[in-house]
Amino acid sequence: MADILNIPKLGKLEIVEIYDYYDQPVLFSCKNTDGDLYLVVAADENDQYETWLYAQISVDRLNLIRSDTIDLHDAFADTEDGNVFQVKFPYDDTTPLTEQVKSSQISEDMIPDSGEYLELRPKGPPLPFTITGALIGVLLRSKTFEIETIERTYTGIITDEAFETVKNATLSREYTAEIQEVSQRSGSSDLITNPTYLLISLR
Amino acid sequence: MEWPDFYPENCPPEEGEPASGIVYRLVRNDPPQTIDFTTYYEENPKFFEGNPHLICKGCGVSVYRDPKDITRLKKRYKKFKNRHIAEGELNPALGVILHTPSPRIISHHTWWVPVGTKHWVVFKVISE
Repeated sequence: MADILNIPKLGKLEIVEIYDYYDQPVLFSCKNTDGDLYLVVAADENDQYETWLYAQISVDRLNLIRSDTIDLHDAFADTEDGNVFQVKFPYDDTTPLTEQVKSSQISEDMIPDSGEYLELRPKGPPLPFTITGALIGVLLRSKTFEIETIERTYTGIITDEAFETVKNATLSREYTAEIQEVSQRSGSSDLITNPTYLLISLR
Repeated sequence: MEWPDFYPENCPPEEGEPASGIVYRLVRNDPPQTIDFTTYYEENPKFFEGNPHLICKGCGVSVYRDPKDITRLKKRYKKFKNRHIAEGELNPALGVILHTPSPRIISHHTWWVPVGTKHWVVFKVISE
């Protein structure tokens, strides 16, 4: 069992943002109790253990990664301090092995390829809109949204994180919605009904 | 339908739908085994102590509707480089599914599997 938020040399970690998820977060940012920020990726697995990489990162650099200025390869292969923590979690639940290694020496077999970007940048402005009781009902039932602005109407699906805010929303308060344009995929799913936007957060 | 004892209340969520259609999953074994569908909550319950809002999702397993999405995931995250892509056709007896897209991968779904089903037998490996 990989207790990925409890690392002996880093301390207890708290998730800041999850960027990709497969049964669990596989790429995410987190911070420890000292406020040190880390970018973390699921790097390898074999019959004995699984390996994760933890790269300490400044807020400015994380924003460069979030804005697709720095790719995910360099996020781990060329870190600010030149190091990465490589943590091996044995499947027999013995203590994880944490090693600090030179980021330039991390195996290419463990990190995303060059040219892989986070691709989280929202396309479209943050939209202020008011949460009403009627709107809450619609959003909770269908998990889809439709927001009208002067320029156009944005329609799409609400992500899990934004949905948590919707469930606890204060009626009649104005929220700023961060939306992201998504590429159209092949028409293999009847469930999606051609959304073009994701509502990724409400503040 | 009976759910595992470790599921919290109101899980699967109301907005989930009866499982149906073709889905894709990364598996270690060929043919797929029950262990290829172990939930993260079963593997690492400690993770959820600080992330209770993820418990219900963690009691399900990740599947994709679009084979391109799972291929991209496997290519991007080297942890999965040795796993196989398996395809399965779900039906309502196999539980509940909900569309849970991430900002990057739109066809991600969470599938909650009831007790007593041999859900792994509907999957076959289609790609290394």
